[in-house]
Amino acid sequence: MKKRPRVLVAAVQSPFSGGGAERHVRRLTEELVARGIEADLVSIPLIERDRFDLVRSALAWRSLDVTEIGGRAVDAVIATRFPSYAVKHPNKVVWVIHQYRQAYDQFGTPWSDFTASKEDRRTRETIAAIDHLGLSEARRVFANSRTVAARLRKHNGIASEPLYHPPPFTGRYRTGPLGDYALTVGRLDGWKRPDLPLRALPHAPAARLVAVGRGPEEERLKRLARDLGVEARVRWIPEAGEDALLDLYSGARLVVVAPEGEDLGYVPLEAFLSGKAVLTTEDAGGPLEFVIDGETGFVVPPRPEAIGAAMRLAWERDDALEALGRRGLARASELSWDATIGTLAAAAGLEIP
Amino acid sequence: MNADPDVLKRLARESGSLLRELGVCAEDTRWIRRHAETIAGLARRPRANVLDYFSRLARRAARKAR
Repeated sequence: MKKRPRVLVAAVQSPFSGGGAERHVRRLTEELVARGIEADLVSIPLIERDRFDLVRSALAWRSLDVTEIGGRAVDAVIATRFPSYAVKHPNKVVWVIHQYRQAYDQFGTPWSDFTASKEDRRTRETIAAIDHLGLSEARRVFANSRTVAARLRKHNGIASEPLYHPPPFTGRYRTGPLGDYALTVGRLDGWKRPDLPLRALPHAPAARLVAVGRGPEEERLKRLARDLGVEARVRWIPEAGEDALLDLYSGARLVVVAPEGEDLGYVPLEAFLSGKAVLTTEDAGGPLEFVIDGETGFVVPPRPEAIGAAMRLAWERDDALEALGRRGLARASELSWDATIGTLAAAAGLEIP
Repeated sequence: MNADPDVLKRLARESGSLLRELGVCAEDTRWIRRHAETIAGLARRPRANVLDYFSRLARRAARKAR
């Protein structure tokens, strides 16, 4: 009997703050296993107390010899986030979820704490060296969106192919009638711009907002809602379980995606699979690969009045809004794990049993 | 911990080479010192001269390795 191929998924753990990336690698491993591949997930935490911790995390990956485990060869490694792709393996495929963005595109913005100090400069150079080493020795490099692929090309001169995948609860999203609220989902972090939909509310008097997520901006946002006089039209849900989240998607009128420069963003795909149109901004990054203005949603300048104007339309034009949602559903339904795993397995030269 | 000094020496050399591979250079003295502290911490009685010794080993490896 032919042995099942063995694959290690190399992942980076952010202890106590698991998010989309953690769910993604778990699902990837499950999907590999479901197709007869003997897959397992290996995680090492990324500690970020000081700059050397970043290098040390890369060193931990680089020190590992995972070519053979338990007396049997590991046929391939699929590495994901920085610095897991520093791991050495003769058959390494990298699927970059995102790089260490504070050292690259976020450098010089409020979202990066890197300064012009010598140590910060050396850290950024070392991160680039780690990326170059880990990615250039890979058999194939994929990015989880065109946006991430473009960053790899721009900052590291590395070519990669976008490889999409379905969002985490695929198979469980459900459609529902147009509700009476716009939904936002995501951590209440500054760079996610959770204040934008809030500031749009005064420009869309009929609109209500449901904001799912918690984060450092929570109290400031609640104060802002009071100051704007929209407090009564906003419902805050710090944490929603899987079922509650699926209900919120299916009951929404539309879904607002406000972050700047997202890598991919599950939220638009989750909205589409729930049959909802998406309202996003021209600088959203990854979401723009799926949200097409007038086709699957609204794409507007990142200004409260522009978002408010689109919200007003969404509250006035039910038929048009439903048509956008239907087209989004058709687009997101094209994504499948069969295609994604098939591409990864072919890149690693593996036969799916 | 009672680590064999030869094992620690090997660890310092090998990890120094890996650090070089990752882009760390001999001028990154603070990082190399921090790394040497980790290795020296595995010795039975970490002393200043042990730390200096491992710092030198790691720095040398970081300079040489390609």
